Amino acid sequence: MLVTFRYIVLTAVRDRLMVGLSLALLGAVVIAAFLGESTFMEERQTALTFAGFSTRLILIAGLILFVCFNVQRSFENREVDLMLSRPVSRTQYVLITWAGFSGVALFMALIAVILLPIAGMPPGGALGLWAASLLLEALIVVAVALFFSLSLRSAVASAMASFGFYLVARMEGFLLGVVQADWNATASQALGSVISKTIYVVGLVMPRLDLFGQTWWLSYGDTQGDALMTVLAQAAVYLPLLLGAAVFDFRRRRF
Amino acid sequence: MTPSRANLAFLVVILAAQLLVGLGLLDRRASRPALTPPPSHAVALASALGDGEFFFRGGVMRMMTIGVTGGELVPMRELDYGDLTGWFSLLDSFDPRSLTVPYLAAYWYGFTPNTPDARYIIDYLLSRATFDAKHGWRWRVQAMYLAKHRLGDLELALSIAEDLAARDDPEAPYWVEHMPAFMLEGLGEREAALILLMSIMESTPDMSDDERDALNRAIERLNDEEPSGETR
Repeated sequence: MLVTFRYIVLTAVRDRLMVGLSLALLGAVVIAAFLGESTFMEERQTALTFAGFSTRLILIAGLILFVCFNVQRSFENREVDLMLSRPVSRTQYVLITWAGFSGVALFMALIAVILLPIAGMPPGGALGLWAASLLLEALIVVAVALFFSLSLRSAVASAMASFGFYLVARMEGFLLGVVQADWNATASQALGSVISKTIYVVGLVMPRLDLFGQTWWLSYGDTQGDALMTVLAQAAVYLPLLLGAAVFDFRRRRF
Repeated sequence: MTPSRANLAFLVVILAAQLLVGLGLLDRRASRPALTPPPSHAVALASALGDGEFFFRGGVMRMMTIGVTGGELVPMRELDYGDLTGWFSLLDSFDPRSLTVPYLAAYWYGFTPNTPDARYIIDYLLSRATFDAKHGWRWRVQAMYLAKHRLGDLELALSIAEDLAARDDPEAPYWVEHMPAFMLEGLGEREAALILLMSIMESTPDMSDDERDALNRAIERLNDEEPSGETR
């Protein structure tokens, strides 16, 4: 088990993922600091907001691409077959693979948190909450990318599916806002009802990633009291769901 | 297999062509309309992937550069102030604590050469003041100033001044109670603005450094103006 974990971390180092992503994160934070300087008021808040938003996107995009292409390469090189020839069950393989990718995600999230103060120093508690939220979001995204990578044959397809999933999950607030608005007033009754119910179901099934990593935590320091509980609860439910789905699918797969 | 000279020549020619195209496009910017109507709150949130503060800060950057469309500058008097104040209200809904948007409205867009547009800014400032318990009096004072000196509507200015004085706002300095009298005085536009800005600075000791800098710049700009209102 530990071998698989070390193998994934090693591939991240070998692919220069950590160096490349760290440089991208550094570039994003420096550009955010520059944008903050260009405003006439509330420079720190502006820089922190841009830095928080861009580092999160870069981190998520990097992890999705890394997971999808790494898993695909493992299939092509028969590395998966080799791993499974050892006394490791498929369930264990999925879990330890996710743990390996999560180790990489943890490292990259730490880099993001270390670099963020270049843009401006956020209040300590808010930075901690944002960091925890970023890590949980990254763990969910790693699980999403792993699920699609194990299910789909193509790395590009699994990456696109993961990005699509992430975008929809981040736009949950919008989707639910549409449902709460008077949709029937702008469409025919039947069509409006069907669309409204569909969006409502999608809103229930997808994780509420729009509640994760809010950059206003960094700007003002004060947060809603249940912000941490919300992201913890969402991650605690959705991570097992994704991993369970990945295990279910992987156990059906024929090599 | 090594690249042939033909390969190399082709690359050099194409690179030279790209350099020519690049030089030709050096001053070109992707053109966009100066100002579009604001989106709904939900669409705005979706466009920022659920991060309202990011939409707000991005929107503020956009509000600071309205009229710079890429290759063409659209003057302030040609902007649709209905859309503009719609954007202000939308941005406020994402971050009601930030002072940047009312500051932009009061000290920048309020000075439009198309004076009837100042009414939009007055309406916005009065609306903003209703949910800004700490700084509401400042936006009312500025709305009052714009009503008298930009719009020339003394009746409106007086009604705002009387409302301000009657509120007994604990956050407001004592001198707001004298605003009705101040409105009736025959001060020039520039002098009145200077008095207001300096009074606001003196009575807001907890003002942040960058906000104080911004107000100082506004005062310097007014000091650079001739009494007639023309910039030197």
